[in-house]
Amino acid sequence: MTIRFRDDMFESDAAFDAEATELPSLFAECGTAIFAVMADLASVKPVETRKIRLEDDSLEMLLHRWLSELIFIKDRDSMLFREFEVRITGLEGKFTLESMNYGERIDQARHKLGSDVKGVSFYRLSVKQEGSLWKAFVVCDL
Amino acid sequence: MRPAVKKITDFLWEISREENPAMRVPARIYASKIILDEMDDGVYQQIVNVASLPGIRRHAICMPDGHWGYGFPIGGVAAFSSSDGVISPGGIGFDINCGMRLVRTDLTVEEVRPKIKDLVNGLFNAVPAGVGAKGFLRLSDRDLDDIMVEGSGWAVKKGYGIPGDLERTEELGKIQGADPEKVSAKAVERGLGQIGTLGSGNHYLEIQAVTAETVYDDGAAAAFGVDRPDQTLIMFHCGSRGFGHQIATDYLQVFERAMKKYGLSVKDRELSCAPFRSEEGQDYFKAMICAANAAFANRQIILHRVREVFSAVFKKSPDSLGMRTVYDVCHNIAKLETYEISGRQEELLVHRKGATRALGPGNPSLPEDIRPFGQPVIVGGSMETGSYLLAGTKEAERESFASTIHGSGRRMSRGEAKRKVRGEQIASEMKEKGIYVRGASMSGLAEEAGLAYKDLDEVVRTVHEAGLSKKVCRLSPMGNVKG
Repeated sequence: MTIRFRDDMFESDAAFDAEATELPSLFAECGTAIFAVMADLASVKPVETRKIRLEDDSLEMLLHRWLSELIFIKDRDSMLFREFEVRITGLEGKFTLESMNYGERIDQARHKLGSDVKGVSFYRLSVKQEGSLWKAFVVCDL
Repeated sequence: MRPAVKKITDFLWEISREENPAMRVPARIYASKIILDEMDDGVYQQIVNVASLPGIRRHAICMPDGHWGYGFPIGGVAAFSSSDGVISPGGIGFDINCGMRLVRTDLTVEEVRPKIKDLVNGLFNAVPAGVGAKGFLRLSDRDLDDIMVEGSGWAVKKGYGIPGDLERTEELGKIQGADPEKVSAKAVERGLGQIGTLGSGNHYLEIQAVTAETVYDDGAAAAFGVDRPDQTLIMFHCGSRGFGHQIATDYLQVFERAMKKYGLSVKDRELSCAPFRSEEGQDYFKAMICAANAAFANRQIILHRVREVFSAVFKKSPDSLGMRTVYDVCHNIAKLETYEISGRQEELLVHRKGATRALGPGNPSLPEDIRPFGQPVIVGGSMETGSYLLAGTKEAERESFASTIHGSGRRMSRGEAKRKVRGEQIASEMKEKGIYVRGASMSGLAEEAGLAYKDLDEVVRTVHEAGLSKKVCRLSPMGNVKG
């Protein structure tokens, strides 16, 4: 499983490639990447959980909506997430995602914080399988 | 590969329609030759894509502070027919009504410098910033509904400002046409706790100095409120916070699905659009206005906190310190404005993404006391290099849909900036230069280092020479709160 931030693109925002051998792991990698922009995740404890359940007809929309939901919860509950248990079922046309997301409330004194993520762009958003690997490309707005 | 650009003047370049069959109008880039050569390839491709959108008028524009965005380049301006053109959330951005406010004081630099640490520390505590920041106001859903409609006026009504603040705010701090029914419950939930906060990234609150040597237009400066030697001003940069970000996310998802319905296709999905007069287009516009008004209110509430801090440190009322708004501008927005197109007046929807309105002298939308000089344009530079106050021009109204730059524009990614410098090093170097900075994030400080930004003086020189906005004064940082 790997995340590679693309510093060759975008002066003001964050873009990354993610790879994993399984689709749910790929989504989890993307979740980790988003929150790694916002904080040093080593300083975040996985002591609270939030559940998410979504359905959509494409993997790209599913990823966009899941990451957007995590960002929404981040602001609504003032939380950072560091671990994700993701389950994806279904086929093209109807996918269902269920996730348990682990993190804690933001503590500006204790957490090493970075830049806030405002949202996820649709720019070149992709989720695809190449051979034995699942790959994603995501741009998030800072 | 970059399309060919044709020189119109030393500060204006054009990509003609022949470069790409999809282009409906030419694309124009305002830049000196130095800035043009340094612009990233993404700008060129993106401005060509914008020039291909339905209903676009005259030309798509990129300002000299422009850089790679998504959909529109940052620094992008495009105007569409309001009757048969489109609206594109990507042409406004996630941070709806991200903008700037500049505040004047009667304080001199000599009075402020000995107290700069007290002031910056006070502001850092009074104006929450960074990831996880929460506002001090306890708002109900009903309060937020009122804020969406009334904008800065809500804040003044509640005692967080004075009527003069509204007169010196774009659209008097309230754009007409807001409809809270078009805003999701999620956006309300996300935004309720963040009104009165600064945000992070390139958002900041800065105490600044103006000297006689850096005033370029005495008349305009005095009318705007920069009217004494070695004066202290305060500038801040922030937007609609999580409330606006959620509205942008909600409607990006709506528009992604709506494209097929209207037979639209775009090369870049972030340019997702819908006819302005469609149900989706109108719903988004009304929700966007809600977010814009919330951003005006946010900056108004932040000004209230700034006044409280200065009052506490100097033990005088804000009024006796002469703390008044110079101006407040949007730089991520879409607005209905009227321009002459092919010899007749046409209502257009002007998208500005990282670009500022710049009305010229005599424009009736400006308050009477500054009308002869044009609209103040607040241009934020990096925290190390300073900022500018400019004035809008008739030339901008004629040539660029009354638009100009918003900042110096980044020239380096955040990752690259963090590899070159550390936040602690930046803070230390700034301290040696006499600038006291408090940041919510050390990595954020590194990302915002001066070396990550274009040469502000060259960017400003471009729009000054191009006639889009004229230099009024240059402001230097003394103290800074970074998100």
